[in-house]
Amino acid sequence: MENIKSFSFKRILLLMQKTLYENAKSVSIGLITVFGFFSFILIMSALKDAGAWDKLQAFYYVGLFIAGFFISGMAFSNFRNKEKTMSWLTLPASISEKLISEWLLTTIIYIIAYSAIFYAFNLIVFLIGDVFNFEVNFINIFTKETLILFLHYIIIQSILLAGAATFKKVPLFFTISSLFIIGLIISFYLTILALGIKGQFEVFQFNGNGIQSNNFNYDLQNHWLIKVPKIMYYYVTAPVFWIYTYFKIKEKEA
Amino acid sequence: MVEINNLNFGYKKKETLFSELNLELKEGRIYGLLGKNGSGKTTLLKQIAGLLHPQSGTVLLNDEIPQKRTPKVLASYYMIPEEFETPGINVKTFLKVTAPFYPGFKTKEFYEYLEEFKIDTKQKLNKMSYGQKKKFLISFGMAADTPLLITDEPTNGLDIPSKSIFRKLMASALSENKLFVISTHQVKDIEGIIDTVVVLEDGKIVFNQALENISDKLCFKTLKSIDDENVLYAEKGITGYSAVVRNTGEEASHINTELLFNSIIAKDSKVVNEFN
Repeated sequence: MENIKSFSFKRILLLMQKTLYENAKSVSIGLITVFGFFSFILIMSALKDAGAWDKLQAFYYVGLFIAGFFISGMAFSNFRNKEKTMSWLTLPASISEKLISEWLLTTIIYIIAYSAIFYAFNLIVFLIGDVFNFEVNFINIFTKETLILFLHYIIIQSILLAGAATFKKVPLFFTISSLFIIGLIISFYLTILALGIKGQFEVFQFNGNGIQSNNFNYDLQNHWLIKVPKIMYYYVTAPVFWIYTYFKIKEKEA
Repeated sequence: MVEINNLNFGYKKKETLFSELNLELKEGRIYGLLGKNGSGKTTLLKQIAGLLHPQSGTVLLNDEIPQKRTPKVLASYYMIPEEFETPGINVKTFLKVTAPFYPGFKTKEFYEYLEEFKIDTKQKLNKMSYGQKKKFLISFGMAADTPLLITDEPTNGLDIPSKSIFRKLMASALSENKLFVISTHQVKDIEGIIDTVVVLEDGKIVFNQALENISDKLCFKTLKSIDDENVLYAEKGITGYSAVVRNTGEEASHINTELLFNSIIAKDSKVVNEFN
C-alpha cells in the first residue's frame, strides 16, 4: 500500500478505459449519430448543389459544439444514481485524476474522434468524387480559426462539465438554462452600459469589440469594460469552472 | 485498522444519528456489525468508506482520513454495498477495467471464487440476477485483497448453499493483516464466522465484544425454568427457554448469535450491563 502515488497518468488512462468500456453502447450510438449527421448534410446539400461539400466546413463547427455539449452533459454519468456514485467515489483514483479523465474524454478525445470521423467522411466523399469524376476538394479543418474555435469549445465546455457535476438530473438542460439566464444578465448589463454611454434606451448588440445598434456603433475594444470581460472569458472562466468541478466532486456524498 | 473518534453525524443538521460515537476495529478479525433496520449500520459503513462527511469527529483508516479519497486510502478497502448497479459488460471486461486499480488483486483466486459460486463469466453483469451480482461482487471484493473489506448485508439475495460458501470463503480469506466488517440484520447468516460482535442501536454502539469475552462471561442454554438469578435473558420456545445465562463456572457453550443480539437490544439489557 505504501507505494501508491497520489497522482498517476496510468490511472487516468485506466479511468478513461473504464468509462469507454462501460459506456460502449452510448459511445457507439454517438459515433454513428455523428457519421449520420454528416451523411444527412451531404445528401441534403448534394440534392441542392453537387459541389456543396466544400461549404460544409461550417457544419463541422456546428456539429462539434452541439455533439460536444451533449457529450459533456453526459460526463460524470455515475452521479445520476446513488449506487453508481458509490462505486465511482470508492474507485482507487484521486479526485483530480477522475476530473482530468472526464475532461480529456469530453474535450481532447472527443475533438480527435469527431475530427477523425469528419476526415474519414471527407476521404470517402473525395474517393467517390474521384471514381465518378466530380470534383471534391479535401477540406482542411486545422486552420487558425478552427484552433480558436476549439479554445471557445473548451472554455464553454468547462461550464457544462461543472453543470454535469452539479445537477443530478438532466444536467445539460439545467446548465443551458443557467447559461441562458447568465446571458440575459450580460445583455441587461450591456444595455445599461450603452444607456449610460448614449443616454437613451435602444436595443443594443454586442459584437465582440463594442456595442452596436442600427444607428449607433460604439467601439469599446480598448475600454476596460470590454478588456476585463474578455480577459475573464479567455483566462479565468475555464480554470474557475474546473476548480469548481473539482470541489463539487470532492464534496460529493453517496 | 479503523479508528472512529467522537463522530457526530446526521443527514440533516438538526437530526443527529451518531453522537460522540467511538469505535476501534483491529486487523486479524471479522467484525459482525449487527443492528435492526434503520439503526445506522449502512451510514456507519459509509463513514468508514469516506462516502459521507462527519459533522465533527474523525474517522481514520490506517491513520488516513477516508473522506480525503486519496488513491492510497481507496485502494486499502473494498466495499460491497447492499444496493449496487453493475455495468453492461461481462466479467472479463470488468476485471480488465477495474482490477488494475487494486494493486494486490488476485486474478486466479477471483476465478476460483466465481467457480465456487457457479457464476458464468461470459454473462453480462447487468443481465445477472441480484443474487448472482452479489456473488460476483463478493468474489471481486475478496480477490481485491485489500486490508479492509466492508460488506453491507452480504447474504441478502443469496440462496442457502451460497450463504454457506460465503461463510467458508470469508473465513478462509482472513489473515492477520486483514480486517473484515460484515454488517447485517440477518444475524444467523454470519454465525460461526465473526469473531467480534458490534451492536449498533439508534446510532450508538451498545455492545462491542470479542467472542472469547462473550464465552467467558455468558452461557447459552435451554432451560425448563428461568427462576435462576443468573439468567440474564430468555425467550420461550417449544422445549423450554432459550436463555443467556451468567457464566459462573467457566462453562463452554455454543454462542447463539441471534439470542445474543436479542438480549443486547432488549430494554434495560442485563447482558449489556454484564460487560460494563
